[in-house]
Amino acid sequence: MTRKISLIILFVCSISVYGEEIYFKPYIRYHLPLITQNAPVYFNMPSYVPNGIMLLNPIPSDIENFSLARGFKYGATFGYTFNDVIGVELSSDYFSTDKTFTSNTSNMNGILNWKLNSLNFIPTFTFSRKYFNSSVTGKIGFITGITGLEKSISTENSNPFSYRFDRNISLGYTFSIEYNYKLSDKLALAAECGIENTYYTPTKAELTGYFNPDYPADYYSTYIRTINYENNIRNQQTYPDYSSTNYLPDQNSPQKRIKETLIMNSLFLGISLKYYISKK
Amino acid sequence: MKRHITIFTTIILCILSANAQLYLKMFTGYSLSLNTDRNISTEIVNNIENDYTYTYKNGEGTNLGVAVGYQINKNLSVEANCNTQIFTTQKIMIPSSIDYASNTQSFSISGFFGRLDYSHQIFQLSPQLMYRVNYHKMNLYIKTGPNFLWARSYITQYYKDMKFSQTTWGFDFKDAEQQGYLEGKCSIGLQSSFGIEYPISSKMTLFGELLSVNSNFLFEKSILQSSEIEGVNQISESTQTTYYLTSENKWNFSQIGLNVGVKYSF
Repeated sequence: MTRKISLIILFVCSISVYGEEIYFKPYIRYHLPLITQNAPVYFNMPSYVPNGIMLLNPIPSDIENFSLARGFKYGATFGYTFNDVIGVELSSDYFSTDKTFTSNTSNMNGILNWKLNSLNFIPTFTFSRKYFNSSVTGKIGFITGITGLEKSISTENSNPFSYRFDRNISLGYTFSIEYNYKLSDKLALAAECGIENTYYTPTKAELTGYFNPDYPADYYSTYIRTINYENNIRNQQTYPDYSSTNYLPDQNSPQKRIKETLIMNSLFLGISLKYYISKK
Repeated sequence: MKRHITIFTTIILCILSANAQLYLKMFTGYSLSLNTDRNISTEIVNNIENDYTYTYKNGEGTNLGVAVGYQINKNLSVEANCNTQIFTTQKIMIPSSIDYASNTQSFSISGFFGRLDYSHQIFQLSPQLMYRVNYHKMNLYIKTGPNFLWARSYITQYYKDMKFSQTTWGFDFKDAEQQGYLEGKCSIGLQSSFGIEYPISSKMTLFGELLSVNSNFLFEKSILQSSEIEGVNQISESTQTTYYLTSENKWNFSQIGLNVGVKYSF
């Protein structure tokens, strides 16, 4: 074990000896949606009529031109250049958004609220060329993120009905180009633009908010409280519900729904301050 | 003042075009669809529910393309990329557990069940700005630009046509086949690539690039070409065969792919 640690230290030391630059770079970026999608539905809102019958309404959840990929992202990068041209970076950034949409059907207006936050890690390959006090860098990176999502639906006459989705891995990639202008030996100002494509598919959702706050969560059946998202649903036993002419699955088991993917394709512009920790 | 601007612009253009050259590229490769829209077919037969999903792999296929470019200097180029795709056919089977011989069972279905043959024809044109850096014998580059996309999708459906029969007091199922296509005008997206060039002679360069296209395509109309039930044509002169679609028919044609090719510099 000690030998392995010594080898790692030796490797890091040799990298910093032969490398050109090691830098740290806090950044801020503004993202704009690049393409939109029809909003994922994820769940239908149940409604209760006085005799206690539950109906699952496909309420106005399907929004055209939907995207959550708008807003600011804050992050920081550690970078290392092997020589004048080739380098690698490891970035980590945080994105959070809270968006409300309205959607109408023939008989009901829906208000849909989406809250999303994600923490991303982006290993990036870079190549650059220096011009006097400036340099231009091309970048390609692979994005791995941990994304959390909450969606609620409310109508004019109801409290928000909401689910929180499991924190799941989101994957994607980024292409960008960065312009650096050297302010001093230790500092440079950088401007960057590029694209970022990430995809998030939840696998589970838990009920977090419901019409009447007086009723506790266990007032609702397991079928309403928990949703599992699957690629295909096979051989699910259903029971005819003669009052609504629907076939309903077992209400004491979690609901099964088909997986849906949230697309976050964006164009971004960013600025950063580059601090050189070590420089040849 | 005007004279100074003209002289300055001329000097800049001369500097920029000191190493300028025209080039032609030919490439091939494969793209994978990034479409995530799932179509769902649900059936409940004798109280057992089965849900199947399928996705149209828009933008997936073998790329064939050419590009004409102009290298402004060692680091900057502009090029016009155009490509099409071949081998785009996708066969989708959504099996049903309905016993077609029996009419005594209870069932409820939504969505499509049967076989779908789906293919698309696309043409993409993308004017791009390329930034290139030389490293040893290689050039590393990144390029981006708007992506103009024209698409047409062909769908053939093989399914069981279902009609209620008052004589048997049940459903009659017959083999049916429908063929048609969807088409629209040009849609605009964004194309970006990262690549490596390796010169093999003074005029010829090999290259490989990772391609990313972000684009939706709006289908404006669908055209029914043929419809048969047990071999009998169902289209007459009065049958409506052209349907104009709403703005919801926006299909995701985003793709990620790998292309390799050869570049010839004049």
